[in-house]
Amino acid sequence: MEILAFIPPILIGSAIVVMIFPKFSLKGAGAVFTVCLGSGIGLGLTSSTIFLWLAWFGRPGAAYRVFEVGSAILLTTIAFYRFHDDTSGSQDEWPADCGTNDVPIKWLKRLCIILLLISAGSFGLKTFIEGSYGTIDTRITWNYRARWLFRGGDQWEHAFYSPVARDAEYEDDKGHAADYPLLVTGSVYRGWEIMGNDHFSIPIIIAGVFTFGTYLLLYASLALLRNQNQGYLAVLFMLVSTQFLHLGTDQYGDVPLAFFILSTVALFALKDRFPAISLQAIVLTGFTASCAAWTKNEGLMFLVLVILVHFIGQIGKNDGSNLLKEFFCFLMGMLPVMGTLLYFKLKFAPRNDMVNIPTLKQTAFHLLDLDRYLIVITEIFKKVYQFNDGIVILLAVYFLISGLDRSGKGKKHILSHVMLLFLMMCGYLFAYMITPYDLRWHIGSSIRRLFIQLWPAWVFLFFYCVRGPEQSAAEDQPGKLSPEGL
Amino acid sequence: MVTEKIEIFKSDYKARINRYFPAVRGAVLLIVVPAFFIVPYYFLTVVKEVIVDKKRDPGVSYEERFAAVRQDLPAHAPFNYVSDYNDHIDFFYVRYALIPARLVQGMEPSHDLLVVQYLNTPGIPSFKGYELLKNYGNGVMLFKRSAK
Repeated sequence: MEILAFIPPILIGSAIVVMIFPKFSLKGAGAVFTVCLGSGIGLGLTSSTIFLWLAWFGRPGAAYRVFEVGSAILLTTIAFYRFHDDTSGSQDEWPADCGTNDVPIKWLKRLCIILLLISAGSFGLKTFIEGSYGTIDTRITWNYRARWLFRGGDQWEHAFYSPVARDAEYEDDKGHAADYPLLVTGSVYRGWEIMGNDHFSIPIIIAGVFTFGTYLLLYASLALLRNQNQGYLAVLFMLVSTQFLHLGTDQYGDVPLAFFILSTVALFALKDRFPAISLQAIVLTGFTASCAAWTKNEGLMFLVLVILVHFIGQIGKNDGSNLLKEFFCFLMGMLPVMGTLLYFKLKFAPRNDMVNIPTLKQTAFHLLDLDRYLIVITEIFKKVYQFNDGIVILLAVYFLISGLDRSGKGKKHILSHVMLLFLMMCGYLFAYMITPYDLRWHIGSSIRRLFIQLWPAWVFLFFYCVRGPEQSAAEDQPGKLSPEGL
Repeated sequence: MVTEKIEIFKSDYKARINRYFPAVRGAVLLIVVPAFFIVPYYFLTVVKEVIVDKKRDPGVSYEERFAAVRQDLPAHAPFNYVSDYNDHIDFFYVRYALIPARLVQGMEPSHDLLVVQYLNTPGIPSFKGYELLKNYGNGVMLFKRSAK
């Protein structure tokens, strides 16, 4: 029954994607892309509307349900008419050369589906039976605050009370990350409020949506940009990265953030690949980047870097008026969720435990300490090498054997995506530099999760650039010995 | 001579791979083969943990154990909490289970109500200035401050 609570957000999000991308959004890989992206955007929007409702009108009751279901019906109807009008009209805005007409390798497709189903089985067993309440982080941050919003009555604001942040003392971690944004907390609270009880299945379903949404979004975006086979291969690679599934089952907030980072990077790649739909894609990147900021504080850094790399960094390189138009579209997409985030940060959130006035002097000392730089850089390299049993080595060997694909269009912009992810890693390094906690403990306890935030986006970029799994005609035919070889 | 043998070996290898995986590059197997083994292996590991080892989330037992005392605690009121369970995460489980009451770990500052979890110590403990209000029979007890 709990699954019913997720129908309105999925409908709302998918309808928004269909309204923006009517031409391709319900065909083949485009449909997968729409539903996955729509689920994430829908959860982002509904988590912010329920928080605003709670803050302005009090406990959301029947009126909120009517508002949400009404919005879903209205948006779906508009999307249906927009889709119908667009497909029956003559306008052809989606390019014909997108990778939706390719021929899938059947065994690769079957293997991918079977292994996805097996992973879904692992997820179900691990969440519903073995670890229903998630890991400790869930209990002290996401669901802790959601339970306060749900059970707290008129004192629900206690969810954001943090003795640690207020006293700037770090001996104990009571009131953990109380300033963190509310996408996961708000979505869990919303599910509980709609169902009328705080059952553990709601956070599990949210974790499932983002974990498997990431796999499917990776497939769909590569299928649109390259071809389906490349999408299947990328999903298989993500399934080999079992750390991702593991963190998903533990209900960490890093997996939803990874989903939104991947969505943003994939949408920017679509924008570069198909200039005809660039403005529509930019509006959606506004939604996804703001949802990343609404998920975790690292997402806020991601949003700033997106603006820096894709807009400020393009000044002088691109046409000024076009850039301004794109930035306006980005702001339009960003506005609904970002407005809620600003309201939350200014009115409810306590100060951050790492960046605040009382620790400013200590932060300055840390930044000048060269030993800390050495420790952080060494630890990061060590952990990258050890990540998921050295999976980066597998990636490197695959690249050496397979080689770079030089045929695609739009790849000249690939450097900006790489730069974005690289700057995110620099941001993590900076966060470790200024941490008031014990440095080695902080790195050891969090770096694996930080890698997971960027991992799907790196995998996407890797498979976007390397050659596909299919043998080209120029390569050796099976079973034939080339005369030159003998 | 050696080059020829290497080329023959390479061609033979390609032919064998293409017999089973027609029209794909050999490099693909670097991903397909690990995925074929790792994903089912992970699943079997989870099955073993759940069915054979019967591994369960301690959160479930905390929720059940503290469900009764939660009904007896006034909402939003602070209470003290003492446990003989020497695990730092115990505090987080109990705090989560007892929302919206506000848990204060230890006896300082002292409040009117005291929740005790004694799982490893037999008998009913005594606390100066407190008297037993209710024993829930599962290691959880509720004390209240004695009238002066």
